[in-house]
Amino acid sequence: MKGLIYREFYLSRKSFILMLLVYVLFVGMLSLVFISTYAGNLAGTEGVEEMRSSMFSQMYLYAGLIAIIGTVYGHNDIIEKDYQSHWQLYTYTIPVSEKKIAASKFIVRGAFLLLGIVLAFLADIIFSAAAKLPLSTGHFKNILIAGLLYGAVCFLDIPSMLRFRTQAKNAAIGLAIVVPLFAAFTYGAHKVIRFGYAEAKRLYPDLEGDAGLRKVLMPYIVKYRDMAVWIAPIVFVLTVLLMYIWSVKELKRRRY
Amino acid sequence: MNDYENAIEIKGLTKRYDGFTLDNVSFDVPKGSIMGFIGQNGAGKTTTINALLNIVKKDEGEIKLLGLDSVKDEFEVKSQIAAVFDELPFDDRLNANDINKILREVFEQWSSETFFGYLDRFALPRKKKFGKFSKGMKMKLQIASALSHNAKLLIMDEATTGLDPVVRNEILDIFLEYLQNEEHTILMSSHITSDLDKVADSVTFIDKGKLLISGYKDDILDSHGVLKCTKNDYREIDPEDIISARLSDFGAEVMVADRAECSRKYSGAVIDPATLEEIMIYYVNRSKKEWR
Repeated sequence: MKGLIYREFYLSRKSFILMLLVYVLFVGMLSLVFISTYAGNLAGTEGVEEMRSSMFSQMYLYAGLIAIIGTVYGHNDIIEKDYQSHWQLYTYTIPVSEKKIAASKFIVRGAFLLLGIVLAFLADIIFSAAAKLPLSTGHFKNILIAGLLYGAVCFLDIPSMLRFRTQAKNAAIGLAIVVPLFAAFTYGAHKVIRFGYAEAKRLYPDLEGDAGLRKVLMPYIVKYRDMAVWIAPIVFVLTVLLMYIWSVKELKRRRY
Repeated sequence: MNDYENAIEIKGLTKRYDGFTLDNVSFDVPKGSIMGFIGQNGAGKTTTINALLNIVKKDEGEIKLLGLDSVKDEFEVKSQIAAVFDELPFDDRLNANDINKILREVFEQWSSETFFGYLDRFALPRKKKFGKFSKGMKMKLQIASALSHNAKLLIMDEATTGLDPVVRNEILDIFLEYLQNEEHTILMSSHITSDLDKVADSVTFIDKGKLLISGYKDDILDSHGVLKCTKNDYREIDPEDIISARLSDFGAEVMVADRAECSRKYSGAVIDPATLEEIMIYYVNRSKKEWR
């Protein structure tokens, strides 16, 4: 199986290096922006403290998403290329079982995902140091949840690609499922925000802008986020297990 | 150590698809020989090879490779065989160094020295991406990788198709060299019967999912012949002696399966030795009996 794992890494290395460059540039440039808020041309500007804090609360997430999505991205097209290059057929002629073929893909994708999550944590630490703001456990929890949920989707992609063979077909089927879910989510979010505004008007009539809304919703967000920290790993592990079984089954089915 | 006489033994292999059936195919490939596996497109060559490699599940029949069951002992068998297809099965983004690192972990008996030896012999670069290789280079690379894990059986599906004669000759020489070791065997499916004329010891001919001829090439070539005669003389030939006949304005060319017997029976008639290509063409047209 080691050979199969090497192969997956060799095929992903170029995309990974490009992603790493984008990540380093993004984190580096934003760190400079953070530094400039107290030691550069932005220092002393009115409201700069609030801007730095607000930026920190968002940018760690963007850097994290670049890291998590970017590291796995290079591994996404390998299954389609395996079919195009006839590697998929060739694997049936070498002394390697379907379980090992599937495992090699899961191990490499898992390694990239883990690396992405580590890089996302690292970006948060760098931003915290650059912005001279304390590290937040909330940030770590958010990164972990984002990483595990995105990871679950990434692992779902493996048997799905084995089944549908091309990214275009896979994406079309994925969209057909995701679009109604996203519409439901958007509708739910809209209802929650309406509820938040109504409650803010009733409970905190003196607060301006979205401050009241934040005050109303934050306890819910924190509560559900803390629940998600426990649920996400379970969802992740179950998804990985189920997807592994599906992948092995799909590879066996290909022996028509 | 497993002892066996035939590197491949196929008995009653049947695979049914919608619109096509590989029907009760049986043949053996003796150890230390090269068998040409011929037939027109869609005859069932690839299905047979895929069944041998357990890529397709057979409906009926028994397949033994190197004396082992192709399904039960699949991994043991596959560590000792190599398959070569008409397309390179390696990603265009890889190079020969990568393949060496990958396959040395896949095959216990992989020899980097042998692999790089073949690369040098074929003048193939080690760091160039396969995407920049020509078709000939890709095939040479595939053969280099197939011969680098001490495979006892080489199974090739249309491997020389689309290659120029110079490269094909070079590859055929490698196969003959590989067969110097009497433990080594080759099954070679090809449309290019001239290649098989050069190297094959035995030939199996399949058509529309049915096995038509299987045996030593020299015996097949010796027994078959093309009888050339006028149309009137053609009418005199016993239909049982005719595989099929090609009629033209000038006369008839008749494929006969027993040249010696026909020479005696139709004394005076010219019976030329048949090539594998002619045998294939006349057998494919056997249902029409007469064709132009």
